[in-house]
Amino acid sequence: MKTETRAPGRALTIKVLRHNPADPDSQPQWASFELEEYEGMTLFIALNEIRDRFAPDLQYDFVCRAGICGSCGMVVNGRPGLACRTLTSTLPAEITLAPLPLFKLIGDLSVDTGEWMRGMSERLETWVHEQTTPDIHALEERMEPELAEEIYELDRCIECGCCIAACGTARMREDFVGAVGLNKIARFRLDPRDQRTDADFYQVIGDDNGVFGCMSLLGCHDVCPKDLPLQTQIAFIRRKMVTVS
Amino acid sequence: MKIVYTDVLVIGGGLAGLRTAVGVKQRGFDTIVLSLVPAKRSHSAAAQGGMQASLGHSSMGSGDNEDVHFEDTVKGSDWGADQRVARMFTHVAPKAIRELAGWGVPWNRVKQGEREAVINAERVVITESESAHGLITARDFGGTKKWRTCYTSDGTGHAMLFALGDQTIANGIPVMERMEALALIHESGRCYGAVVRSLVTGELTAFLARATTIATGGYGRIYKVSTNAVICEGTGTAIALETGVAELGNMEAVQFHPTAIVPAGILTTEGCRGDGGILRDVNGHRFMPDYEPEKRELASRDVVSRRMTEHMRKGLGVKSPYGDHLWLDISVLGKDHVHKNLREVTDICRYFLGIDPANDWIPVRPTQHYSMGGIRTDHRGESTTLKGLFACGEAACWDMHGFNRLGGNSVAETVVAGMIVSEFIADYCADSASDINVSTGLVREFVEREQAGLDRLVSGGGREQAGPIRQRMEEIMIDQVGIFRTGEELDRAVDELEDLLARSRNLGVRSSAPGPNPELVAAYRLPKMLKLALCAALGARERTESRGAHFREDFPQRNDRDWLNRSITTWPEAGASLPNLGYETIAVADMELPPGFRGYGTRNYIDHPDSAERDARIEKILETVDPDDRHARQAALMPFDHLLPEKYRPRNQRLEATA
Amino acid sequence: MKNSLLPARLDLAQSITGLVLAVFMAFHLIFDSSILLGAGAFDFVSGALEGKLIFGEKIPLITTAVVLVVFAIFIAHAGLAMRKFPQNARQYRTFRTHMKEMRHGDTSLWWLQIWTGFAMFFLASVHLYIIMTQPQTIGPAGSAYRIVFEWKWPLYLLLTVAVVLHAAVGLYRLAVKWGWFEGKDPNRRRKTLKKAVWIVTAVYLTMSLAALGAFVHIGLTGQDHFGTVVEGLGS
Ligand SMILES: Cc1cc2nc3c(=O)[nH]c(=O)nc-3n(C[C@H](O)[C@H](O)[C@H](O)COP(=O)(O)OP(=O)(O)OC[C@H]3O[C@@H](n4cnc5c(N)ncnc54)[C@H](O)[C@@H]3O)c2cc1C
Ligand code: HEM
Ligand code: SF4
Ligand code: SF4
Ligand code: FES
Repeated sequence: MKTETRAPGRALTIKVLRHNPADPDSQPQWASFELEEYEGMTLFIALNEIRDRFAPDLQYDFVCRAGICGSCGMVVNGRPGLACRTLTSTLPAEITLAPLPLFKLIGDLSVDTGEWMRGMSERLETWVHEQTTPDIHALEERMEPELAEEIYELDRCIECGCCIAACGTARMREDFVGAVGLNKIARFRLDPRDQRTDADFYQVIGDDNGVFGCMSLLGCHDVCPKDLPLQTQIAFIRRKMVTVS
Repeated sequence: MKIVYTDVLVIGGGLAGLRTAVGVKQRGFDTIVLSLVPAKRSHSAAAQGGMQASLGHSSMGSGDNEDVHFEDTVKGSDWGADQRVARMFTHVAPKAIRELAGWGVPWNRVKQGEREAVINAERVVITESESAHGLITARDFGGTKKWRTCYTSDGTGHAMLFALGDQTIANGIPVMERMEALALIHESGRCYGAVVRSLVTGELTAFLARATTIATGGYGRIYKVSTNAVICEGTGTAIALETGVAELGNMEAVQFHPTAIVPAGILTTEGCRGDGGILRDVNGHRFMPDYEPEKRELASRDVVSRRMTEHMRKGLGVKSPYGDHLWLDISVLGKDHVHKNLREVTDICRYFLGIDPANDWIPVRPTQHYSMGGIRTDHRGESTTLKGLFACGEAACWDMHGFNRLGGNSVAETVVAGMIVSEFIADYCADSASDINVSTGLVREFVEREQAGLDRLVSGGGREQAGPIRQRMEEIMIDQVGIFRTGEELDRAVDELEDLLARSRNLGVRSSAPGPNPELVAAYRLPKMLKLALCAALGARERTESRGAHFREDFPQRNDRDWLNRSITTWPEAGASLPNLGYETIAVADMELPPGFRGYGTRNYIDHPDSAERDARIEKILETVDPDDRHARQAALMPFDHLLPEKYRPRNQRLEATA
Repeated sequence: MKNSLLPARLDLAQSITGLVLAVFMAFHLIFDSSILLGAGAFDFVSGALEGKLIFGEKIPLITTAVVLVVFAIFIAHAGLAMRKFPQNARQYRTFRTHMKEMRHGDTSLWWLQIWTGFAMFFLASVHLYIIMTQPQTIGPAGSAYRIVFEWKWPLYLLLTVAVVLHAAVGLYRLAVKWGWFEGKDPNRRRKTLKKAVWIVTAVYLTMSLAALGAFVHIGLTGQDHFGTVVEGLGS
């Protein structure tokens, strides 16, 4: 087994698409940084090193740095993904980093996914719609263990925005709810505590900005860092929505 | 000058902050939540293990109730907890779980019939009853008598935070993201709101409110290695400290987790060892049996952390560019078990280490994990000394954790405290005493002071840079105010931290980029973090005993005679180099559970002189009460019902009662 | 009701028309390729389709009618699908950049579909129009003559490639869009489906292009590749 860590590795060239919209003089441009790779280096470590050593004003978002919170979505060598859990060793020696498109740019690699997600949530009303408030002093409603797990599988979305950035439809049509929104509908539809009917759901996603806008390109499915079954869920919702009458 | 008015300003959008906001909103008050990041990205999302509540539905939890939960919590705290608060907490925790269930958290459920489980590295068969089928189930977590930790697979915190985040949206509560509170606005012992900086534009705004609530989480990032999110820098706690009025409690009480991966600092679950994983050193030697022949890797969190540190100090750690570490070997469990039962560990290893734990050993070391200390509040969540300032969640010292919190008790605390404290805040706001008639002059003074501070950093010609000072602070904290503490090292730590604080008064930033300016952010947060570090280091130096997570090599005994108290720090002089340190006695005479043996670790403590007396008194009281009525017995010893908001007083229904 | 049921109906119609066209083409290309079995075979097939087996003689009007229906479906499908085209230069550019950066199979396939569809809009229209207006000329000789001497072979070459690719990818898209054939492991199944797309494409392209070659051969030599003399060329 392993006993010693490997000696310093490759020379990395990391190109970052930089732009500070708060600065009227700033123009989007690529900045290039050279780093020496270590074993176990992730893009989180690499970017921190760049900020420490070369570019103190470099903007990016990390929170959990553990692939849990969805803050660090960015376009890595052309593909949206979570930077914190990307090992540089899985990439070629030349790495390009760009902010997620479509979301409002805050600066460099930092974008405003939060505002977008809140807008989506308000539009789709992504919360349990219950008729009565449950009695918190009494035993909870029972639920089949398998159902609870199924709901959780869909509840795992971290709103990172990668699916939106990877979606050709969303790129062309800004009001498209995207896979993240459609998956949420699937999640609440599955939840017996949410008493909305398919006709209610149709009201929020039954148009070309909703499920019928999706052209099944599956970019979303292929980049989702949580491996959510987006293909299956969007198809399922589509079937349910065309049968609403 | 921009001023925003609201009834309740909630600083922090984690579980605690959001539940507070929902609570006051439902009582009809206006509220605004501020957060450094989108609320659903708060650190609460990282809690994987679960939330404790004594539902007692699963067979391994049957017979559980508030009393057992209370006892576990108090013992876990090493008697540092406020027992009344612990009672309030354990009573409301089941309600919190059920409320969250109603809001959509997909808690895992009891499935009737037999199933296999691994307990302490042994395979056992558990049989679940038919009557519990479909109710919320629980798993095992360290330090609890019963299986009490409710969970949603490996994403409890995530599911809870998203459910609460969605409730916040459903209630139309504005959450202002990327907004950082820099200072509290206060005068004559009354808090009026906060000066807040936008992390998008860099602008300052004054938020004025009847009640200000701090729910900003822990301060783990003053340590070099921490399982906490990178935003857990404790600035919320620090702005309370900087008022000079508000008190912080038990800042030296900091918990470590034995097995976080290196270098990322991400937790691998305790389940790894629970299932039979072992720890190895640089030579591949399994060393835990040498220290703890009986419990080996399964000794309690603090013991394993200490032994690992001890072993690395002997030079038997594995050297790496990121510091020394040890190996966690779960390959002994077999590929099937690892890939199926330890899925999230497999994922973490794959993504962050590029290894498969079914074949490779995992590099781990003890890592800072939880901050027990925080803003000292009364049982209502209000600061003991600054009116109109409330705090809850990890940022507060409410104080149910004392010197050591149990796994699963902290996410529980966040929502329970949110429920309770929001009611008290609403009561407070309903009272005309909370009306604010603060002069704009005062507000201007605070905003201008903050602006001047920022300007000075950018153009004051300061020579020091934040990076190196911060690194040094982090090293001092982990090396000298870490798992093992000695008077000598703490002396040095305090001295050097004082020095760093002095240097931090001469900080300057190179970049003047408009907008958030990350370099500026790092610079203005640093002195705040240093002050917290000093509170912790000084508290640790003065506390010449070992209690819970605070372990003094030179004073290894818990000393109830001299130290059954809470450390209280304040920072009355802005220019001072050290905080004021005082103590709040924890009275044995009121305790439902007087100090004694925790039931694990070594039986090694100095008794409090009142303990025996209280024990005798309790025995006497209990003689007069019906032995089968646990509620009556409890009420006779330490009544707490009256402390709770009325709506949370009803008893929790139990499965046995419905049978 | 805020949302009308129209989008649902249109989406369904788009898929149904696409499916019908694809199924139609699947047969059409096989019938077409009967030329590979010789002129007689083609004659038999085209005759049979024009009702010879039932009515005892060819009734070209049947062709006209079928083509009319297909044409209608085709137009409907094109109309529905065109809603998905980039609506302006900005969208067009955005999508192209996106596709280039992503290097993502299904996204690129969609682009292929857009282009093949767009091409067919013209190519197939011409073809359909001719067949509809001159059904009586369908047969080994008439078809070969048209292909060679009326210079239709470049049109058919492009059309064949376009239609095979478009239909095969279209069927794959239908499957993922509606969640058909997902099986237990949708990810694995999707890979299988993708493979099927390429197999179908290869088989149909080979077959259809060979058939086109056969027609050209007939046109140039007056004989099919079995040496049977084809009557009436140039008539
Ligand atoms: C890896 C890990 C696993 C854990 N697992 C468990 C577990 O299984 N069970 C358990 O019970 N506990 C667990 N914990 C502990 C638990 O997650 C936390 O204690 C709890 O979530 C804290 O919640 P909070 O609401 O108090 O703070 P947080 O969730 O940390 O939220 C703090 C909020 O304050 C905001 N904020 C901070 N500073 C400012 C400022 N200056 N201005 C404005 N906003 C600010 C932040 O943006 C954030 O929204 C775990 C902790 C870690 C690190
Ligand atoms: C014989 C001719 C044709 C066949 C067999 C055919 C078949 C199909 C099929 C099966 C689909 C999938 C349907 C769906 O996604 O709902 C499809 C989609 C599509 N077709 Fe066609 N089609 C033909 C002609 C055309 C023409 C002429 C055009 C363009 C003008 C066109 C443009 C498109 C487009 C753009 C799509 C993608 C729609 C989407 O992604 O939602 N097709 N086609
Ligand atoms: S669906 Fe996946 S890619 Fe999209 S936001 Fe959720 S986690 Fe991210
Ligand atoms: S399937 Fe394609 S169009 Fe639909 S949401 Fe996913 S990426 Fe977007
Ligand atoms: S920082 Fe949280 S997912 Fe990357």
